[in-house]
Order: sequence, then structure tokens, then C-alpha cells
Amino acid sequence: MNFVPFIATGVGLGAVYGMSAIGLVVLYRSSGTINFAFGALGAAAAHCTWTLIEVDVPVWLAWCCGILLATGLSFLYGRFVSSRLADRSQSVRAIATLGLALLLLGTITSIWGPGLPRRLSLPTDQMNAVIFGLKISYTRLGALAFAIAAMVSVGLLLARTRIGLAMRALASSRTVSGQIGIDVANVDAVAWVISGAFAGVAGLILADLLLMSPIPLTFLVIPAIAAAVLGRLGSMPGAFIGGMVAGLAEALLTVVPHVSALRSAAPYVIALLFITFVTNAQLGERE
Amino acid sequence: MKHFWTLLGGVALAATFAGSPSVAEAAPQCGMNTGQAATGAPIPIGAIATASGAADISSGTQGAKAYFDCVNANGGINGRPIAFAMEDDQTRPDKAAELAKKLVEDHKAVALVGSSSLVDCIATSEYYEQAGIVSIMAAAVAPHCFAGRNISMMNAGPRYGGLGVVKYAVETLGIKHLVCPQPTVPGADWICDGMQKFAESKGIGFSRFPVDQQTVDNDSLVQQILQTGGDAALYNGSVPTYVPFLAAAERADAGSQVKFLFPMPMFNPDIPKTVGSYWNDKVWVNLEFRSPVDSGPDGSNFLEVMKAAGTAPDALAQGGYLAARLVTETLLKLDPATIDRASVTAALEAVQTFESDMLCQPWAYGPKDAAGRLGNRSGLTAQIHADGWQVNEGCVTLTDAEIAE
Repeated sequence: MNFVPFIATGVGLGAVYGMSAIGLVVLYRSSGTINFAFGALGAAAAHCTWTLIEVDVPVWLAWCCGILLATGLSFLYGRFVSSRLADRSQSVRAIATLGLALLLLGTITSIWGPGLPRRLSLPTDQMNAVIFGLKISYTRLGALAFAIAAMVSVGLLLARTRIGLAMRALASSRTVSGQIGIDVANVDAVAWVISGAFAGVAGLILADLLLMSPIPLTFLVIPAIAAAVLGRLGSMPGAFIGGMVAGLAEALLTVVPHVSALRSAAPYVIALLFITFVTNAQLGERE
Repeated sequence: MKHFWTLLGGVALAATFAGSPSVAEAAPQCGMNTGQAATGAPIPIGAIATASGAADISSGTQGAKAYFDCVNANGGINGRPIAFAMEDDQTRPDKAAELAKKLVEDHKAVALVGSSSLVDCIATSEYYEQAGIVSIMAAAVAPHCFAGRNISMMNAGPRYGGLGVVKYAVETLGIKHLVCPQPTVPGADWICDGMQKFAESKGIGFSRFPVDQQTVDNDSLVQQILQTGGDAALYNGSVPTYVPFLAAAERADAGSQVKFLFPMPMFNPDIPKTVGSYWNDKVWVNLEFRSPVDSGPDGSNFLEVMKAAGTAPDALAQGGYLAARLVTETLLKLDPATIDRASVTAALEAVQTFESDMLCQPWAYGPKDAAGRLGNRSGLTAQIHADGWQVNEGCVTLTDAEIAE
């Protein structure tokens, strides 16, 4: 069995997992919220873009509109719902985003139907580069490049700018941040806008590379969370590497007998092992 | 730029067949055609449909209901209306068992007609036999249906429908090595078992491997198919995965090496345009029924009945319509005063020739008490061609060692 093609498919899959994981970590680092609606926001963007392309709106404009939709929905949720849950526990805030996810999924399904044949594609899907013997489409390379660029730029935003400092302060303590004069509502809104933009881009790329269907797109947030866990929910490079590991594992397990039929569980198993052994080992060292 | 609102305002319920019906509108013809509503003692009939859970394939049962509604509006069964009860099994075999009991013991159904379910028969086939009730299904999927003594169906199902397109591929396309990716869902191994037996009987190569149905990584699945060296692959994934699977196959240029074969659910008018011109003459699909658009009077009547009921005229609904028409014609031959489960069961078991221009060959219930039955034993094959579907003439007769002749 030739493993090389599966490394290529794994790199592609890992790039999309990593990109989604970075989007989740961005919001978590700035608001302490795990956004279960990340996938649903992306699905909304993908379906909006698909519809616009079907009525002959230029592709670039349709993509912009889809990303704007996801960004706008994320902003509205952050501004009018999440802000009211600011004093609640992390669990409550996370479960609330699950409610948003289900609301969006129901709306998308009622408008576009649950699984009718649709496809979102780019001309770069059929253009390939050969890197170290691996044949990878330009779209996948673009996803990889976007994930890396996003990781670097958001990292710089958080580390080197006033707004980034305010976002980190907010995640650390909302109360103290307000007391020292940080405009909590605005900073929160910025975090949700950034996360929403990520969700829009990730949703479009996922719809192009994987599938254009509302339910699977919505629940692709689950392996993204697993990848984010591998980055301990705080490290963007860690989340990206976690996504790549998860994607490669899922692809390479294709050729392992008796395991290939369960390979979609790879991201979760890896995250579970990480939590169990790596985190516990570090707790032990501290003790 | 087309106006966005034109799209929204112009979307209509589309027939799932290429082209528009080119028939003059006519009143639906059902049962006695009296034009008068039936008002006598109802005849209870039931059906189990998968309308929620893993999928919704209830349009088969909706098709049966549409025909029965038309019958009731046209004199019923010699004056007696059909009281049709449709239940949702939620894709749960235990729920299907509970509903079967409800239909048989509470509703007192004389027959089950037009069931369209992913899980019916798994926990109910023996119960139907014990209760002495026959089920003429619109769409059967579980292998237990095809082995049920009291069950027959209008569709060919995933195994026999798959055999139809594979047989075409062997005899007409000359394939030499069939690949059967086997999803990790109940019954998928039974489908590949049938393909393997057929391949061995024809002396062609065969490969099979388990496939994780939950993964979104179709690219790796395509690579796995390519590495078997096969020149044809029968894809049995779920309907929402057809397009992303072919998109992944196109990325790998797999269409230049492998002919892709699909069961009937792939036959959707939007598919050729969605998957693109790369797939012209590279995808083949089994058709269990002729297109009603140009099959003949019964096909036209099917479209009229569905239109009157507001039911989508898809392939599943065709099965429901045919099941309901079969049972209606059988009931009309009985003494309306003595219609009961025993007389209906005996009458249905005796049906050995039921014709429709939507069927390639006449349908038959098959040998009574046979452990394995397939009423619809023939079909057609279609391929993506010139960005649309091209139906290839010539019925493909299905045979399988597990089905009684």
C-alpha cells in the first residue's frame, strides 16, 4: 500500500481542522467561551455564498458576502446574547452557543433543505502542486497558508496591540477589566467579529474541500474542538499542530485494517489521550 | 446578473426526472373512477415510514397515501374508503416493532401498503408472519425485508439495484475488477456479499473494504479505491455524500481509471449539473422504475395523482403509488362485505402479474412462503451524459441465489 497519497490527503484535512481550531482558540483566548456555533456560522456563510453564485453574483463578491454574513451573525450574538451571559460560568456560555448552532442549523435546513446535491468549488481545486512527491491542490495549499497567516496575524494582534491586550485582559477577568477602564462591550464585540470572520472563511473552505451540507458542516466544530484541546485551548500554534495531527491520523488510518472503519474517531481519541496522559503528567510534575 | 428574487420566486416543486412533463393535464384515474367520495365502512391499511432520525425516505409512503386519497375520492373499494394510517419509525427498529403492533392490533390493518423504511423488517418480519399480514413495501432497505416470508416490495433495494448496474457494467462496459467500499452501517456487508458472489460467478476481480460512514475525508476513500487496482466501484454511501465523494474523485482524476456505479437514489436531476461535465460518461446508476415523464399512461397518471396530492413525484413515491395501485386492484376483486386480513393476504400472495409502464417487467409477489422474495426483478441503467442523464434502453434482469425464482 502506498502511503504517500494519504499523507497528502491528511495534510489537506489537517489544514481545515487546524484552521477551525485556530478560530475557536481566538475567541476562547479573548472571551473564555468555546463557540459551538463556529461550524454553523460557517455553514450559513457557505450556503449564502452558494446561492449568490447560483444567481451569477461574481465569485469573489459572493465569498465576501458569505464571510460578512457569518461575521455579522457572530457580532449580533456576541453583542446581544453573550454579553448578557458574561457573569455566568464557562459551561453556560458554551451551551448557549450550542443553542445558536441549533438555531442556525434549523434555519439553514428549512431554507436550503437538509442534503440536496450542492457543490461549492473554485478553479484552484483542479490545479495541483507537487511538493516532496505529494500532489496537493492549490485550494488546500491556500487553506494551509490561510491557517498559518491567521495564526501569525491574530497572535501579533493579541501580543502587540492595545486591543489585543484588552482582549487578553477580558479573558482573564471581565470584572477587573471593566474596573480598569477597558470598554468591555466593544472589546467583546471585536473578539466575536474576528471569530465570526474566521468561521465564515473556514466554512467556505470546508464546503469547498469537504462537502456542502448543513448538518456535517455544523458538526465539524467537534473535531475542531478536539484539535483545539491539543493546543490546550490557549495556544494557536498548538491548535494548528493539533489539527494537523488529527487530520493526518484520520487519513493514515485508512490503510490500517480493523481500524479504518473507525478513523473518524481519531481526533477525539488523540484529544482524550492528550488530556489523560500529557495533562495529568504535567499536574504530577507540579505536585 | 440574474435577479436574486427571481430565483426565490421561481423555485417550484421540481419533478426528480430530467425535463418537464410533456403531457396534457388530465384528472387522476384511481380505483373505480366514480368521482364520488366513498362513505362505507373503512378498510384499515397501514404503513411504516422512516420520516425522521437518520434520514427521511417517507415520500414512498406519501406516494401510497396520495393514491389511496384519490381512490377514496372516486368510490373507494366498492363504496368502502381506505383508512390509511402512516407511522414514523424514527429510524429505530424498536419503534418500528412498536408501530407494527399498533397497526396490526389497534388499527386492525388488513395489509401494510407503501411502507418506506430503513429499519422496518429488522424486528418485524417474523411478527408479520405470525400475524398473517402481508406488507407490500414502497421502499425496502434492510436485508430482513428481502428474506421476509410475508413481505414483498416495489423497489429492488440497494443490493439488487446495485446488482443491476453492476451486471450492466460487466456485460456492456466490460469491467474486469469491481470494488465495493462497505460503509459501517447495518446491511452494507450484505450488499457487498451479493456483489462478491456475482463477481465470482462472472470470473471478474473483486475487492471490498470497510468505510467509516462518519468521516468527511472522501479523498482518502478515493485513494483507497484507486489502490485496489479496480476499474469499477459501486458506491453505497448515503445520498448527501454522493456529490462530495465525486468531487474528491475528480480531484484525484479517478474518473479516468474507474467507472463509478451507484444505486437509484443517485438519479436526481440536479446531480449532473452539480458534479460537472468531468463526469459525463463516467457515472452509471441503476433505475428501478422507468421515468414517468415518457413511460406511458400509468406514468402520466402517477404524475397527476402526485400533483393533486401535492406530493413530490420522486422514485420513492413511484414505489408507493405502484404498491397502492396493486393493492387497490386486488381489493376491488374481493367481495367488499368479506374483506379481512386473511382474504387480503391470500389475494395478494396470488398476484403473479402486475403491470405498469413504469416497470421494466411485470411485478410478481413470488412463491408463497418463500424465504426471500423480490417482486421487481428488472430495471434500466442511466449514465451522466452531456451534463444530463441518458437512460440506456434494455431492461436488466436481476438474479440472485438468495431470491426465490
